[in-house]
Amino acid sequence: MADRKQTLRLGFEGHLRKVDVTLPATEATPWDADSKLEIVGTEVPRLDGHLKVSGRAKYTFDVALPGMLWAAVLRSPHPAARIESIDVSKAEGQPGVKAVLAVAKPGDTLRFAGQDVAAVAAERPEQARDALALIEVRYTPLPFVVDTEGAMRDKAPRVHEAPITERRTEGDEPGKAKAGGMQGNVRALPPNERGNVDKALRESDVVHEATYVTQVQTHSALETHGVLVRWDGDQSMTVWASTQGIFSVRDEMAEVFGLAPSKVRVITEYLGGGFGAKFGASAPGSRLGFIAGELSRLARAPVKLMCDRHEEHVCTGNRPDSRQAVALGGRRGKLHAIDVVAHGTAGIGTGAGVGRNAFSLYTRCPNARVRAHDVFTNGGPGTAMRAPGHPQGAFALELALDELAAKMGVDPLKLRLDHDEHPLRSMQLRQGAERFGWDELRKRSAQLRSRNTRVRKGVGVASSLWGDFGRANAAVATCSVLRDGTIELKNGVQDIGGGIPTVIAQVGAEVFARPLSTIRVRYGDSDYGPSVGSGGSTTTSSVTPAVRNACEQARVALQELAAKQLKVPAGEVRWDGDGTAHGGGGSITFGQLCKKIDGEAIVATATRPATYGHEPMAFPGSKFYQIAGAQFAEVEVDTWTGVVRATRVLAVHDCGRVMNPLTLRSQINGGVIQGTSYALMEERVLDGDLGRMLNPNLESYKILGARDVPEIEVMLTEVHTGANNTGAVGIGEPATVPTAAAIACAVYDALGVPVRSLPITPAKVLEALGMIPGRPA
Amino acid sequence: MLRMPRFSVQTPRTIDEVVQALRTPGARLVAGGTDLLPNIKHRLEQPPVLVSLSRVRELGDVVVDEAAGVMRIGARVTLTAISEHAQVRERFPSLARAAGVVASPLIRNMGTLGGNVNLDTRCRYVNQTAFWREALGGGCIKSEGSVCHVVPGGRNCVAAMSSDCVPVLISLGASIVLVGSQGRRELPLEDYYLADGVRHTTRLDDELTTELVVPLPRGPRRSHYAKWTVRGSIDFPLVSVALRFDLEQDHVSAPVSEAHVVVGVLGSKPRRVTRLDDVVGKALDDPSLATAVAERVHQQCKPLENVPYEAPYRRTMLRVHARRAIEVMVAAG
Repeated sequence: MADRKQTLRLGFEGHLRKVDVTLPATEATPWDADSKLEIVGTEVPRLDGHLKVSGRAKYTFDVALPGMLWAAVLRSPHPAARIESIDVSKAEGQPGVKAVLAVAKPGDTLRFAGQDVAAVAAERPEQARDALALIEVRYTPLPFVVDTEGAMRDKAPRVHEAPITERRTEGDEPGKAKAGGMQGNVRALPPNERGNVDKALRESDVVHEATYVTQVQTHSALETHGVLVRWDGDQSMTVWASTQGIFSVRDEMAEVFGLAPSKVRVITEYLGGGFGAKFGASAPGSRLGFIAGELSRLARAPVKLMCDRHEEHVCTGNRPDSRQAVALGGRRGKLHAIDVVAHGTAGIGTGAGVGRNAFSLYTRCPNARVRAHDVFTNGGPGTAMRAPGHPQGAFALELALDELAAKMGVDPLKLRLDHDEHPLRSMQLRQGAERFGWDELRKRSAQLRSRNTRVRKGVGVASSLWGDFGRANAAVATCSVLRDGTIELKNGVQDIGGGIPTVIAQVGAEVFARPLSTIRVRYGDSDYGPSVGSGGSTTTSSVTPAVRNACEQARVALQELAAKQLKVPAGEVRWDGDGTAHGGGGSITFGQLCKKIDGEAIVATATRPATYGHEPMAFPGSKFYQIAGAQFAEVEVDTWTGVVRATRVLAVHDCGRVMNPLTLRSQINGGVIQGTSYALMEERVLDGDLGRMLNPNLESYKILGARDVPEIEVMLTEVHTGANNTGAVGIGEPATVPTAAAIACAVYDALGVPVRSLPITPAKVLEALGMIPGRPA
Repeated sequence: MLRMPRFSVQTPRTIDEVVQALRTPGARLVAGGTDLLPNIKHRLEQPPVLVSLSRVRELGDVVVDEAAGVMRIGARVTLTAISEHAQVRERFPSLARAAGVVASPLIRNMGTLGGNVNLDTRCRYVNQTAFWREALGGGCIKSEGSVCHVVPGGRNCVAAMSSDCVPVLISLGASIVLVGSQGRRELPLEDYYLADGVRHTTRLDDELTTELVVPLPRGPRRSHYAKWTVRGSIDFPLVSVALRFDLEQDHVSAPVSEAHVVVGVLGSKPRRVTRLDDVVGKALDDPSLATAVAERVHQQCKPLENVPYEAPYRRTMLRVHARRAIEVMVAAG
């Protein structure tokens, strides 16, 4: 069928306009600014909320099968070593032990403390752990380096002998180009440049140069990584996985064990968080899927392998650190040049770039250049973490911008507004500033500074950009209207925690004008049809349009059935608000109509096409909508102790159409909390002499507690982008991009001196104030 | 998830039975378990037998003995109960406060005062998984090894005494009562602790703490407990200072007749700050008193790199928090 043209009313408050889009013939007419929706966009509590709070929701950790064994992994105690020999024989025959596996082999080089060496499956988890102690491994320790600066030196031990190719997952930002060659442990990422930055810096009347440092953050999802593997015969298996990408688990297990993907079933009913580290059957630094699958094959019993918290910190990924040398040039009150040279370590892995912020946010600045580098160290691999690179990049850029603004004598908010081309973000900045009380609060900060008070207050603002990376043809949804009136919606998507099943149900309820109680959502199982991984903030925008298309198609079939019953042409059937069909003076209720279904159900299956709109502005260099956001933060700093409290955050965000304000606000709250924690507390501490993480637990790896959470206000600026038929775009990542940056800017406002290093610990604040001597870098 | 090794549990009903049960080699007492069980998960201890106090009725009371001039607090009284007890709040506000800022409500509901005074010492190189410690080349003095990672070359364990209640109880002049096969003994709590993180109390293996005895104030007094942690709850103290000032009259402008300041989270033993003689006689609200006390605390207390956050920073903070605690007392009137 031919494509069709459709005129939609798109844009945002005060900026709505008619836009023509081209749609595939099978595509439902997109919901736009003129659509009046009854259930989508309302505050529907999570359908499974009661199961979660009452403990009845079963996570991977909770799944138990008859005869199931528990696995444990022996991990490298050395940050770098060669394996001379492995003898697993003494572990065999230990009480309860059913299978033992040498994962590494003699001659292998281990590159971080925590790497897989061997594994055991036993009847009880304690037995598996105890048996590990009997595995004899001879190591030859090798020179190692765990700190980023040390690894950059000429004589530093080489972490990898051969060039490394990038490991990418669905958690990574799409569309990045390949990297360049390696020099020592340093590997250049593709640079970005517009204009002539060197010349522009020479032309500038004010230049600000400084280095900004961010720490390694671990994902620390509440539920650790883990899989449970059951072989169903020798050519198929069922895998329960704590994953944010069911189909990535399927594909990896199929590849590792030489199975057809259709023979691997993956189930993730509930998931205790992911944040980018849970793609594939393995963790980034541990072959969990292979180990569990192989032990299960050897033992001929289901095997469960769940990481403990130590393993979770050390070998399941992290947000790389960064050292960003930033130079900003100002000319005639305007931003004239942005130059960033960044180095960061993803340990033995790749992906220490610093995001799009410096290059793509303040696009009215004519000259910009970002050169980023991966620095290899003997640490566990970094991996995608909630907006990879962006919080790091935002922190350096936004704080540097405030420092430049101070030197130029302009208000930092004005400097941002002057150089941001996104009309919605500009509105967010203006409306946010008004609601936040920006002007008055900046004056208050200045007064407290000039009076040199013990307790200071400060405010800061930072922006977020992300893309609508909702995927075409990736999610295939099935809608079944059953004879008993139930509407069953199926898709193999996992719920990372955002609440996608509830939103799927809302879409079904909307299309059929039926109560939510009549909608049943089946998800979390690869048998329910292809879907996307929850990465790149794409779940809702990939899945809900497919669900809607399936529902609309089923509804067309139902309408034909109604027409037959009412004896009118299908085009004359009208539906009312409770799903009753009217036509030719007669009517038939939804329940009565369903009973007339020939066979068990009307079933329709559909996906979504590529994006067809990006009103009002595209993500740089793409046809995807650019998601906008801005956050304002207020802090209180005790200048005697250096303790910073984030007291208030105003988060202004768009995510296209608001599908459910409750689940949306939850995601934004989570993004702000995680960003505040990153700003003030979280830090992986590695001991340079031992090459090990000193705080691989949740006692000394500090994550913000309930008492430390700022008051969070969420302001939603809905936008009709025309990207897809529901209008949903993502929010998970945009919500955490600017938080730490805004807090750092607020600390600068409070103190009058910047703290250019995350986390902003009390000691760093006192150093910045000159009250205690600085430590050597 | 970390798993516990197997052990058996005994549930005696009387103190005598407890003492009897403790004769099993390696037996350990458990009351709330909030310190012991994580340590067992970390394989810092692998006791074959846990002797539970859950069925012992005798140790659960708070009694004010006016005739003897003391309050007796049973070892099994929970930290929540202490923090909420009307008599404790009235007579020993710094103790109520210390008990009320331990960890989190859930832990305070389980944790007991006896457990808190016997809390094992803590160190960033010790309170880790067995695998982690093994990778240091075989742990340290306090765990499986023989070296110290905090004080290179050190032969003595300097793991930190991290109890919130201990510095306060010492500042209040409390004594501890222990019962064992050799009978009952009572000693000043201050003398109970040793400068050895491996064995940081004088408790014998078959002794159990039965009660803490705190002398009732004989005159006007102001006391406070200053605790700093990274987070607003759950954390062990990083700065821990207990202060007590006895006054000649019941107002903060009155002269101080006795001053006691005790600091925790340094090494394995709480430190009593000395040379406070010159503050005696000064009014509590005399700013020079706060400065002098803060200065003594800073001079005499040297935090180590045994807990998170930089030791030099924590030392600087001792001065700030000591001074602030006095300001809080003065402001409260």
